[in-house]
Amino acid sequence: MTVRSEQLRKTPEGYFTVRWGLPEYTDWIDESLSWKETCYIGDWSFLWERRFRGPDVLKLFSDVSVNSFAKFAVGQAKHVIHCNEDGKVIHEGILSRLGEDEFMLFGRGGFWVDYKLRHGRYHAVSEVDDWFNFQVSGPSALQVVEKAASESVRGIAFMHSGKIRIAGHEVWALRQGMAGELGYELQGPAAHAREVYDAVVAAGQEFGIRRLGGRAVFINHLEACFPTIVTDYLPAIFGEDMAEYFAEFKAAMPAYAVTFNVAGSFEADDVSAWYRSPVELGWAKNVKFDHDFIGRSVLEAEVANPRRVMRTLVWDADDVVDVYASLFRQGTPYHYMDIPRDQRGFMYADKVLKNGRIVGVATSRGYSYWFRQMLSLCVIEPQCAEPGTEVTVVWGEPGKPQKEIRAKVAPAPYKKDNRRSDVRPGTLV
Amino acid sequence: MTDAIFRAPLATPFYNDHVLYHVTPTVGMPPIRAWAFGGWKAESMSWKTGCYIHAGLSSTGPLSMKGPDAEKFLESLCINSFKRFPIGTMKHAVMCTEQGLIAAHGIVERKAEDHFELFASFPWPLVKLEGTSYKVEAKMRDDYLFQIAGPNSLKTLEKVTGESLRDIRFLRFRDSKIEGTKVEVGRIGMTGNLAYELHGPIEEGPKIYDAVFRAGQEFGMERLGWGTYLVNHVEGGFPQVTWTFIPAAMPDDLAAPYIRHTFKVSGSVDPNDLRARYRTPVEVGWHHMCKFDHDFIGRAALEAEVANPKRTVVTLRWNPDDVIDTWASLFRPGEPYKTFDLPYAPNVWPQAHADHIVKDGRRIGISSGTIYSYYFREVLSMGCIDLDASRIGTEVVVQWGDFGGRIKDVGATVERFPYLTEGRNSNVDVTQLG
Repeated sequence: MTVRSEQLRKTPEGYFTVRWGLPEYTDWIDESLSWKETCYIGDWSFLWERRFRGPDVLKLFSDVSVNSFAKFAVGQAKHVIHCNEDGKVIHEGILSRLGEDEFMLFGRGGFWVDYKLRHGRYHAVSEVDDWFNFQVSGPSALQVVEKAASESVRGIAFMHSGKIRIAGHEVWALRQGMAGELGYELQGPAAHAREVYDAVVAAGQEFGIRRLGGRAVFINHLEACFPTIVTDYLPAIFGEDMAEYFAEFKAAMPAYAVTFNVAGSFEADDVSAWYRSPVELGWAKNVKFDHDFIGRSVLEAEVANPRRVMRTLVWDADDVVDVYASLFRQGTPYHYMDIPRDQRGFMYADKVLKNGRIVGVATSRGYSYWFRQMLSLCVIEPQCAEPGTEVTVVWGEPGKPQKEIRAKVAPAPYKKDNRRSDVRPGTLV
Repeated sequence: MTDAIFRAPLATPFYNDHVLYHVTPTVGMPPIRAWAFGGWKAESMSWKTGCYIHAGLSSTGPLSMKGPDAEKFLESLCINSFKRFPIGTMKHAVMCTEQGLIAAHGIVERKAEDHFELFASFPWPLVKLEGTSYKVEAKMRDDYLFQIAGPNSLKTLEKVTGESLRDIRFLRFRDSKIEGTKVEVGRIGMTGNLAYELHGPIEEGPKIYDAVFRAGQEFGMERLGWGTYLVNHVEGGFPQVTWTFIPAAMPDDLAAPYIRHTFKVSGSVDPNDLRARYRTPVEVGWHHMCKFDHDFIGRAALEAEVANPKRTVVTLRWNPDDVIDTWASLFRPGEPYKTFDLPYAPNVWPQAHADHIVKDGRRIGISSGTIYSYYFREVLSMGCIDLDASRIGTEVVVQWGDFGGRIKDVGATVERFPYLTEGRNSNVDVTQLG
């Protein structure tokens, strides 16, 4: 049952960005400046949580993740990545170690790891949980969280969680930074969501906090290079060997969250061409060969000899404006470019050419108001990956008018990584 | 407002993947809207080349008004004449304030001698009924309201009802059946061309919607989302409260906070200028509906205005190069021009948008309802404009932007109103159709 790519070229109903609430709270431009100038609160509560308990949990995760668990302290969190035998990403997400034998996994990975748990022999149990996840990101995030909690959070190290209290409720504060800036993800039982959210928004007023709406969301991922499921890769779950899992996964998800839809000029017969390896997504440093895991042998070869690497592309402004100008000419206009980015829920994958040859695939096209540029992420062959290299992105569906857009290779992340700024007492602010 | 973020994506009764989006949840307005289905291009072509089904007005009523004084009461609110209003027909009822500003408008059906049903014009009639001695029983119902519009709307409905509907003339309604269930079919629509509405109890909505959509497959039917719906009003020439103007339904001292809370206030006109966002019937081209054969609220003001009109409604066709420059400005340093959303800008509802129309440096009107028409490949808006500048071909400037922000002077040409002239619903002889 290989899925033909044509089956994925259809428009999903509705807007996937509805998961983040309203499209705009102030407006998309204002909100997109927030994580550079003040901070935002963004609602990622739609994320799926699964709690794992038992003496074999680490062994289970070690078997199904590229990451090393040699060092994993209580209170620490890791970006765990699960691959198939071909070394392609099935799911990925954040795993927090809440206690010696207790872990919480955020994201779709919970379905896969639970599936492997049930089909293996592990002394472990797992259960679904429902937490709120509020990202507070940007230079003012620290002050806002401290004000809301009435206590210092400076002791919480990067990718570690600490327990704080907000609005009378116990809250986990995970120091991360999905905007490439100082950031905390506030987590706790869904029943407390509203009170915690309101308390953070109130505490943030004096620091200029913004509420992040669906329109601006993911521009943070683009500027800071956080490739994301469905926008930058399709999960490697469509193969024949994954049929049983895929059926379970689909049945467990709300219909709006399983919109696997592709768009863009990139063409291939098989859906696996839209899969990505952790190396391609820029996560090679997370792949550790100190343990056995699914996909290890393929990834060992790929880490030693990467075929494609992750970069940012800066699209030529004049060529982009011509896409809009085509709306006023007779004939079929070029494929429309939503500002600041697509909201329907496609994985846009566009061919990237050098001297007429396909050398990469662009995804996550979006307009960054901060840089006043149209950007995208791009997996590209190493010999074309040097910043400044000039390439061409082909914009438009196969068989429809296509616009060749000049682009320049740039580093990823495009925006300076400020996630690890030192906030220990006496350092910042 | 905090509510919105905590609600899961809501499902309407009519389809699975539905979204609360782009819409401010507000009392009196349905909080659930399907925003998009096949995409704005396909959806916006549907009523020119095939047809659409739109469910977005469901659960907004109707308001049933029944009793010996029902006619007398409605007549006292409406600028329309009730002299000829047989059972089985409908009117576009327009209700004004004493100042002659539109407070509410919508379709009124005459179900019986003493029974009317009002669509989309409340709460104004309820407010006005309160404390009077009229013998009228007012009751809100919860009905589905499906709009089926476009040249193939009739074929689709005839297929799904299994009977000829050619006897239903413009602004008439009667009962029919779909899969054994009674439905009310009315010939009315917001596209300007051939269009119908289906009404019935909300519980029966899902079944009826699905049946019509299935029947429409062979006739090029698209499901229309709210993200494209409002385009039809501007192409078709239908000024609309909540879209091209706001209701003058509040006393002055309450109006400003009400408008700020309920509507997205935008445009180059000062947000405190409510009058620029109100309209009189004359200003939207409904002067012919003002009948002074009866007393009604606002009569004196309208008599004066009809005798001495100052403004009328036109379509404005925007200069493409100026519109394209709003996108180009995103790539230059400094503040860009106001984002131009497609297919209507701003892409939010309900809105209270007003841009100045300028000619020779003088403010001569207000532009609102800005759309990109994929059918015409043009940006269009509705202009409320001084009579002496309303001649087709007149060149004007629309000031696109938000008050206090950067303003783009967009050249525009006065064009025919309505803009979509082919196959108007009022003129189509369905007995002659294939």
